[in-house]
Amino acid sequence: MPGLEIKKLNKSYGSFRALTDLSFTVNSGELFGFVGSNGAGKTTTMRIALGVLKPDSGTVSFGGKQMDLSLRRRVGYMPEERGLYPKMKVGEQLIYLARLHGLSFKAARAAMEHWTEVLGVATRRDDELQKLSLGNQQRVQLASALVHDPDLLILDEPFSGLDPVAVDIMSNVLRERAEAGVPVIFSSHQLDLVERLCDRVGIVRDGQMVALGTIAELRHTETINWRVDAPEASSSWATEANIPGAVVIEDGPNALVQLPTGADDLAQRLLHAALAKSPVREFAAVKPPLADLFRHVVADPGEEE
Amino acid sequence: MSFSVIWLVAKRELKSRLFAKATIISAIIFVVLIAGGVQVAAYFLNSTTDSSTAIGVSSEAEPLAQIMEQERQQTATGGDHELIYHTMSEVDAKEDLKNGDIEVYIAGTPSAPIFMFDGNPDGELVALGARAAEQYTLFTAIDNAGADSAQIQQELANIDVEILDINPVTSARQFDALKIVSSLVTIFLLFFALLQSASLIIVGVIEEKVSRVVEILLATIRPAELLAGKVLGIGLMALIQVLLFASAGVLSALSAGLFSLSDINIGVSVLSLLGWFLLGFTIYISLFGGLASLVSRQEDSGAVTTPLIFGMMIPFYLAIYLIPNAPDSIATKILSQIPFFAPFMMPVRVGFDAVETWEVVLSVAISVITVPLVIWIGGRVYSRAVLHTGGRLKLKDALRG
Repeated sequence: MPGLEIKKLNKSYGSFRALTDLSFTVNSGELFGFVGSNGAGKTTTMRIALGVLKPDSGTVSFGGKQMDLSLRRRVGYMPEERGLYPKMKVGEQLIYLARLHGLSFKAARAAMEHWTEVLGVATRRDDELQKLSLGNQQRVQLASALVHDPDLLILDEPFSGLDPVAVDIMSNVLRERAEAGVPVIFSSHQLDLVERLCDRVGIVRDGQMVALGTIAELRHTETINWRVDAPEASSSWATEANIPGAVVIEDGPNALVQLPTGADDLAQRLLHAALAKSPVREFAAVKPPLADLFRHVVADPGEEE
Repeated sequence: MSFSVIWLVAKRELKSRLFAKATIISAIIFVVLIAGGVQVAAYFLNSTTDSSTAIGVSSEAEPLAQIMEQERQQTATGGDHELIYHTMSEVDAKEDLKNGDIEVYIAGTPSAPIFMFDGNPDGELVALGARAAEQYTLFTAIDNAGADSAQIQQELANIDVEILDINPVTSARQFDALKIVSSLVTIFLLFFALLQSASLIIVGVIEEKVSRVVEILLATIRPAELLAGKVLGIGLMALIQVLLFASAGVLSALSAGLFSLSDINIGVSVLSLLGWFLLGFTIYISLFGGLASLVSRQEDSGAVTTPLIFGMMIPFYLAIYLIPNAPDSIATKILSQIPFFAPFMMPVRVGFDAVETWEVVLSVAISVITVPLVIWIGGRVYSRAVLHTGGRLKLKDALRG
């Protein structure tokens, strides 16, 4: 089933080019992580997807249909800059927003009660929003994005400023929504979180999508580094093993050896060479964390595509 | 445009403002001030209109007092001012004059009266007395000549002078003080309500912009719906306040006996004033809402508020000063057709009866058409400007998008 489809978005603010031919798709049931450095164009993209901002060119469609007001009312949105009425009571506020999205008063109240319960702010329903701590305000903000049972979730930096418990609650909610078939797109600078949570990731730089795919796809490189922990091995055993195509990065009892990707036989030979010298406590492919990938992709303009 | 959405927005707007502590407190203060002010004004008004002048008369001059009273009633000299006559001796009168118990003492004979004052002779009274003396002399002479002075007196009283003005405009105009006053009161109320609501809507729009809640709202509803809802909500709020203050004033005036309900022509005139109030309010507040979205911070709101309030003063003062001085001038006629001027000028022109029916119909039509136009333009500026943060957005850029 087609989810959110973003095709060839272009947007300029005066002479500043915010987005260039940006395209990606988020399928239903998919958690999509949207990463990129500050000012890369994430917020602009999300605002365009929401129809709050008009692109210079390009289209946004959902479920195969051009995004319009009636579709937009079915989207749950959490803007980067948090925004709710500071002097309105939490419960009233959530009911109001749910009703603006077309729910009846009764359904709106039930949804408000459900989400304040799930997100742990049920005891604060009758308090003005401004009396809550920032973290709790953030939970209310997420509740406001969820309260009308949206068909699509677009969340700009939903995790910033949350304590670990709240991060877990929020992660579970997003996971659970995705499993219910809702496409979820969120941006974040917490790359470990994105890595743990997301099915697919898109990395933007200067308004262009420079990397797009599953975490495994993004990690896919020509070579893989293998860590070998063989405490009794000599300081030059890996070099002496003389495996074709291997590049020894670190030698000794705790060696790091680079092998071509997919060369399982070579990896086995490396393991045997190590076992011949010493018991092996660890033999593992070192996957570069997303943070490294991110730095790599974002920092080096010559490297992409 | 979905009315249910507009109504949701309006209801929130109304609820969050009407039940705010500051609103309730200031409303109570205003009601007390208005009701109290009317009572104080009534005290002074009544103390001057109810007064009467006491006049001492010598027994010899009594016939003159009778003619003075007839003369006063026929010519309505001194308005409703009542004259009370006391017959007394000259010795007592001098005492009373000094004490201020009587204003004047009339001695001498009816044909040669003496008006005795204790300083500051009242010219009007003397003139009245002099005319009475002339008539007394005339009627005495008529009686002496053998004719019936009573009949002549009767015929004199029946003389009816008619005034015919052949100028069609000025002749059609009958100044009705109550109508003029109520039209002026209406535009004062409009001006007052606009001043208050202008700041409400400007603060409200900027508040949504500052708290960024507008981003969520605009992802759900149309900018014009949001603006229309705000205008409706704040409009209802202003209307409730105006009705509250007006009824406080009217009830207080009624209880003080300033006028009775039968004096007010409830019906067409009150309804048309209310209509103008609503039209003017909607046009101005929609514009204010659109323009308020141009600024990002409460501190910058002056950049928009100040020119708007000055702009509002122009039609207001024109209505107060131009119309009474030049009700039939071309400038008055043209300006009162322009939407932003009409709500101030038309009610006053109607109050002065210096207007043709078609002119009123035309200006109402123009204003009614303007309302959705202003909401649309306001909504357009609003949607462009409202996501713009940082400095002030130029109106030109907002319109162009």
